[in-house]
Amino acid sequence: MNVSLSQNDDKALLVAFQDEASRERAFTAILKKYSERLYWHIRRLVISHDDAHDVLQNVSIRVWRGLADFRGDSSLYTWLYRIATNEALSFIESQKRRASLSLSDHEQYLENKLCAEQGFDPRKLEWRLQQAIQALPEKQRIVFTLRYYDEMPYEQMSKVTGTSVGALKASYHHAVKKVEAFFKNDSH
Amino acid sequence: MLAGLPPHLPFSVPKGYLENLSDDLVASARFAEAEEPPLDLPKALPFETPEKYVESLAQTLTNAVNDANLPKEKAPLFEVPAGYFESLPGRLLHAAKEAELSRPNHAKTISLTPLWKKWTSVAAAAMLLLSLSLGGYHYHEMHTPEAVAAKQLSTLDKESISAYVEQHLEDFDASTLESLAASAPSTAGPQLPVLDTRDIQQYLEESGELPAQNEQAETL
Repeated sequence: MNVSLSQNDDKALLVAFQDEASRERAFTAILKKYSERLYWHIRRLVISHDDAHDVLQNVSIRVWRGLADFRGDSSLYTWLYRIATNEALSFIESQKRRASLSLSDHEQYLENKLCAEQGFDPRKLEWRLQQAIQALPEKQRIVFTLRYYDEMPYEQMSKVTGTSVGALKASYHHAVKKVEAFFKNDSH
Repeated sequence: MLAGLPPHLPFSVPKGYLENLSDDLVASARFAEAEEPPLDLPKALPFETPEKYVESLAQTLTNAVNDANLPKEKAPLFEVPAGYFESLPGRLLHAAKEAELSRPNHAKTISLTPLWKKWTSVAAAAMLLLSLSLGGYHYHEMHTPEAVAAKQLSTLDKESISAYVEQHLEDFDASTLESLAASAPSTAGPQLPVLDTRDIQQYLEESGELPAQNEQAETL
């Protein structure tokens, strides 16, 4: 099949994926294009590198198995983020269940994970921001990271999360207020 | 009946939720329409990754997907002679019939067989019975020579088969048992016999391998 596997063209990649002969090359090209962004999205949610890598592997397997049925109702990028978000949330849920953690226990658990990260330094602003993000409720944490770090448009976030644009905007505002409050309290 | 039940809901809400609910909803509605608030904080993430992790990430993930899609079939651990299983039902039938003919009367004997041998024979007999009965079920509809043999074999009583197994215990080594287990057809069929704990208990009691439950109770 004479299809260019340029990483810039999702449509061409999807067409190439449908062909058995070029499937693996197309899949690798998709991963080259998106895997790093997906990794950081997952890492911000699960914190530890090993957990993020495990989740990302599961995402890749789900993408490989589901891509042939991808109908293109949304962009490939949106579809990948939706899978990554769901896998990360499933992982977090399974962790909570395994450890029988309550909500407050889980926040403490995330905080501990953050403190255990290599190079953790609570005097540095970027680490304190991570602490503030981990203190957010789960949904606000996802909305905040998608908007603040990935700068994802609200319409796209709506497709990723299955939430209305208005609710996402409100969530982001609430999250920003809480982050600001965290820094205010932190400075006292 | 409902009249006697308390009208309270058993649900709980986070502390302060209801007190702040209206304010929160007003704020949410306002936020949904408002300009996005600026946040002057660093966007760089402080997390570290292993060396060259990102560079090789796409290939690592492709490899993981390939590994996940590899066929999961295991190569058989033991080898058997060519044609062994094709002729197995016939040979077993022949041998079992011989055993039945040479079986002494039903006089109760005290076995001097070591305990481990007894249990091996029980396992072998159980495996053989299961294999034959399942095999007979499947082969019966195919009318193959093996099916005919298996069907005939299934008419033998358990004691004959057990006696045969006792006499040819050396033939039932680990690989044979494994092969029998592997060659037994799937138990997915709806009419297949199921060996439950009581069947096994009954078999062991009837074969004298275990004392009957009431006898056990008496000895306690």
